[in-house]
Amino acid sequence: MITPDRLTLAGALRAFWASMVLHCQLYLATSARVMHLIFMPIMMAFLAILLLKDAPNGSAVFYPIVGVGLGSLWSQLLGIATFSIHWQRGYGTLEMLVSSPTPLVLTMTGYLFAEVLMGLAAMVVSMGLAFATLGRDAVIASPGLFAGGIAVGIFGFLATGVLISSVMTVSRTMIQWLNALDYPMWILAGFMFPAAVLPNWLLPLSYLLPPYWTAKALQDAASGAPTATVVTGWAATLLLALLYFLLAVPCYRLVLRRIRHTAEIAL
Amino acid sequence: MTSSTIPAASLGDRILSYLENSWIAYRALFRWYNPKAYLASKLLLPMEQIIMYTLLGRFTMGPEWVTWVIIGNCVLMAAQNGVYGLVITLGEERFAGTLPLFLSSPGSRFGIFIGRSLVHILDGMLNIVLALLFAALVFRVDFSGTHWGTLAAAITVAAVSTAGFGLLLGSLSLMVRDIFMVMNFAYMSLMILAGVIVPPERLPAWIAWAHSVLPISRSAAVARQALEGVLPSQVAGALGMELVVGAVFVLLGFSVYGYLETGSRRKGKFDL
Repeated sequence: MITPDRLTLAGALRAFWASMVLHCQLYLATSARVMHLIFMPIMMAFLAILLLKDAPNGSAVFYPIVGVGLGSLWSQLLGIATFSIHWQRGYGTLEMLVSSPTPLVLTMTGYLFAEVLMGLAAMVVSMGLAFATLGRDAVIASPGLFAGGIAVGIFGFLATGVLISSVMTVSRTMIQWLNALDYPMWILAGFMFPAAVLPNWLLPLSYLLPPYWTAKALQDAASGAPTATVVTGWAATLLLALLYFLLAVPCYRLVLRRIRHTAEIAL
Repeated sequence: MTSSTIPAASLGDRILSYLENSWIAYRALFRWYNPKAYLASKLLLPMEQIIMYTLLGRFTMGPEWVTWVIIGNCVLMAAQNGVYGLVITLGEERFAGTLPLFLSSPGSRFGIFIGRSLVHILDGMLNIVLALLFAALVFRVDFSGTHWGTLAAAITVAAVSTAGFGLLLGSLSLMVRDIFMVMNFAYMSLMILAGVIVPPERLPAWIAWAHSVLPISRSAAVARQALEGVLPSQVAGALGMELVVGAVFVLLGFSVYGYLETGSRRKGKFDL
């Protein structure tokens, strides 16, 4: 019997890179998707800027703008986390993915990592628009910490996407709930307004979401909060991201076992 | 009568056919839904949207704007059907393979075109009512001084004018590959420019004109006035104007549809 070689770190990185590049190529081949990537943040940022006109609280001016970038990134990621596997079904490539020695979770992580990187364009668009229209009100107090927060946030969003994709893979019903899953993250993670405005009983849910801590760290960095406060947000993001990854791996194993057992890979 | 002549349908048959068409087009939209998912789109998503933008409005503009934003959002719920529902209904004909059947049928083009909107208008009105109930229960919006006749008129006009807008967008969606882009752009435009979330006086001069040509602009304002007890006679002009706006959108939409149909026959491309 031929047994596949154990996956090495170099092999894993190669598979990760290949899936990432493939996803980028598929993405950029569809002009409508690229338009969407730029168009939604522009509309949302325009909305936020109009609402902020004559805002009484100067420190709050930048809050929704950062949130537009994060929220648009989330909406993109949720869509891909939900539909990636189903698109593979449509392309007829899912059987090959499942039967290849590369773990499915690794391939999906590559796809979603590419999605997060491209989703950062939303951040660039919304902030660019804010700088152009709000002028000196749109100031990032600690640019270094802000940049660090984005780097950390990539892992927070990625881990959330990977965990969600495993659930979406196993349940087709969940796809129908896709739109209903979008706004809750905008609200609970406090993208465009502080989560503190939510009822107290909802806050524990916010604390369990990596994007909440990412948003908090970025808002803190933008408003000039102490370094320790920002770093606490980074630590919480990374810790939860690790936990989400650890949960996603067995979830994917369960998914694969189930679809092999029921012979429903392509169904 | 020769064998090739099609007998004219009676008026009763035509009305029945019109209603049947409307119902089939509406049901086809949700062909892939199960009841739970339908309820999610009907109840959960609108409620989430109201919560999200109410909290955003309160954070950015202050608590005094909460009711203003909530009522605007409730009226915008008509666009869930008027924009999303109708664009998918018309735009998906091409992907569902039913467009050639439609183009080759002897039925009245305008009747079928308008017929697509009937159930969406009723469903859009239901959307607004459910959203207002949610606003009363969760956000404690005070309806004690409401003139219900004015509110009912605002709800009806919002659903009708949005459906007119949707028929135009649905026709335009046949010209593009990505109908989701069309829908999202239209919905966001209503949200920003129609006085739903952003007060019209905050719009920059270069785009402020759009407020007066979009549906919902006037019906949302009238719905807010209804809460203050304003009589229907005092807002009849505004509502009438919004109906005119809706009618213009229907005519534009039908013209675009006709133009595309003529072009498709000339080029021999039934899928437009």
